[in-house]
Amino acid sequence: MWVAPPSRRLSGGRPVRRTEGETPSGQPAKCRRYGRTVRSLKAGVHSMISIWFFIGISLAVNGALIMGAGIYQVVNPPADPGVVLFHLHANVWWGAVLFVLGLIYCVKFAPKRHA
Amino acid sequence: MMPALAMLVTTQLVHLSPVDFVIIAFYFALVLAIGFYLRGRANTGEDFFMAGREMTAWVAGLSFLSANLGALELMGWAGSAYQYGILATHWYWIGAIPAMLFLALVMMPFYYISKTHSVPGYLKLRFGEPSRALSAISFAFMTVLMSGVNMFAMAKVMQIVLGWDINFSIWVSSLTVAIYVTLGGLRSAIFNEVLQFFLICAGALLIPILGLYEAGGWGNLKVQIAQRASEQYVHLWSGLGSFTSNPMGIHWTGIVFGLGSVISMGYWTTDFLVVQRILAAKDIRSAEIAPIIGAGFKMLVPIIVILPGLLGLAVLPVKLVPESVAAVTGGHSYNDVLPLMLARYCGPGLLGLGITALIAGFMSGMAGNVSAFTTVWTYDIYRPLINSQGTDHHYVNMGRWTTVIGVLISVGTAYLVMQFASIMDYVQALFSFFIAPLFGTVLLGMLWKRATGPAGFWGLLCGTLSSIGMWTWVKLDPTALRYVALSPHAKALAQDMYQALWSFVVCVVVTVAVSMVTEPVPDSQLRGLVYGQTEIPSVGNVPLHQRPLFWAGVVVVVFFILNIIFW
Repeated sequence: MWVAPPSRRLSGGRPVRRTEGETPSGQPAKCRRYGRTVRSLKAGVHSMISIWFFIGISLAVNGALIMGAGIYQVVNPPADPGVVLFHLHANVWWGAVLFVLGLIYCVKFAPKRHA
Repeated sequence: MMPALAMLVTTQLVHLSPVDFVIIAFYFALVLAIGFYLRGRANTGEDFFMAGREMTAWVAGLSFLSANLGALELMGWAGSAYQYGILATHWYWIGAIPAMLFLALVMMPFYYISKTHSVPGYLKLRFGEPSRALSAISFAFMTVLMSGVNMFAMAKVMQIVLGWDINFSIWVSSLTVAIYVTLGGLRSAIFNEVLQFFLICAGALLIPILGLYEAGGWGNLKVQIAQRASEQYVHLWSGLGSFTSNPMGIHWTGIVFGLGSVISMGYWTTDFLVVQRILAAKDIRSAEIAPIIGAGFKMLVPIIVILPGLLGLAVLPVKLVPESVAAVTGGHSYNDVLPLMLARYCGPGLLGLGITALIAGFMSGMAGNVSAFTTVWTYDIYRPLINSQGTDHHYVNMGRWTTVIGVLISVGTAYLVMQFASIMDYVQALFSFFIAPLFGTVLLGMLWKRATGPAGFWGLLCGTLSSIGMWTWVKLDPTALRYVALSPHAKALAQDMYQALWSFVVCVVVTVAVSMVTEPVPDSQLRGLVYGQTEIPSVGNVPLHQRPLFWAGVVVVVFFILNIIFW
């Protein structure tokens, strides 16, 4: 598939003449964003969701489920817990650790929209 | 889905609660979602077979490690730790770390600069088509058979641990793997391997934490193991002075020269299943750092594999026995130690995560086998030997079909093993025949420019045949063990070590001998392939903490400290 060169697409289809290193607005603050957009367009793809984001989802969802199951057992203690060291309630704190870790990954590696 | 799953449960080692089933179902949904998400990013050969060569060092490194961290590995080595004690750690430290660093610093530049798609592809560039054909056909055949063997083993474990029907486990896992690898190629396999690494850590790390709490710390654990087994179960090296003074029946020469110098080097540097992950790195610095990252984490894996086995020796109320005894008496075998420890400490939710970690390990191992098979079949067998005129699009389609066919052959193998259980031993043995000689051939190819094409082929062939010959000899006459493994007391693992060592020696001797009587290869044809004829690109003017050599040094120091602590 043919992809219009970055200069045409960023200027609404009209070719724009610029000197080397000049940004569309000429403002240095936008240099980085412009460069990223151009790289993205040159590659012909939108940025890919990071693997770390998927890992964040996995840890957060699993952590929430495990912590939820643990809290349920704290509120409704079973007659026979079935595990040793039940009094430590490992599923509550281990689930919480996974949940927080997952949230951190989800926020840090959340997919971002490019202009 | 829940009632359907519940119906499959008959008699089992552990009992899952509804939340455990939800966690397992969520894992399957997530891996399929990743496969569908990546389907549009596997349109070219580079994308499908090499993940676009754009993986960061962290992703490539964790994937490199995870490709070897299958559930059979976890359960098998936890069982070995129960059986042999801390000696099993050698397979994670001296049996992996030096080889991973050697791959990073010495071999990876040649693999990467030659831009090869595979290890057989490197042999083609260095030694010619016959060496590639021999290596590719044996690798493809064995890989797909191993995948089937692992699939059956997984289904068997799921039957024992969870009471699931074998057919259900085989078809659900294989169809899931077929879908996500066919859609996303190697990238999809790598993504799922990294996900699996985190799941294994999240699911298995709690066992050593709670186990050490129950045992009263490492000091008390050692005392309890000494009382219930032997003091030698917690020493890495001090009992290796003779074959009879340690639980494994092995001498330190077998560990250092067989395991550390040949078997591990062969596996970590030439088995395409793991090397493929590094070849997908985005640049040469990432390709060098990735195995070092893998080595750093590999040193920590014994915490979730070996330590549960040792804890099982101290805290489990039942005594575990060999598989053959367990089959007769109905007791638990060594290999059950990890699920037993899981059931001991993990309540609802945690149990589901632990089982998911095992399933993820099985599936990513299968995906690794299938993706490596697909690449070698398409690039090293189909393209050079069957159809060299195809377009890139044609080869990608061939890769997708090969993935499906590879999975189906694996399923067929799994059912074959179900009928004839002894096939499992033969296939595992056959796979090991090729590793040590292949390392000899690739090593000489990279480091000795005088090695010639015919020498590479004959060295590889003779090394492989010698390995098969020694295995057959011991099979027909068990007393031959005293010659192959240097002791009649050697156990199966010790035999593997020495068999690999001798086949490596045969390969090197034949390669050197044939090289000396054949025409040398002109230097111009060795550029980018051999040490001395290749300009290794500098890592550039980067800070110390970004240099591969610095981190390799850190890993080496930690490696020595750990071995001294547990001497």
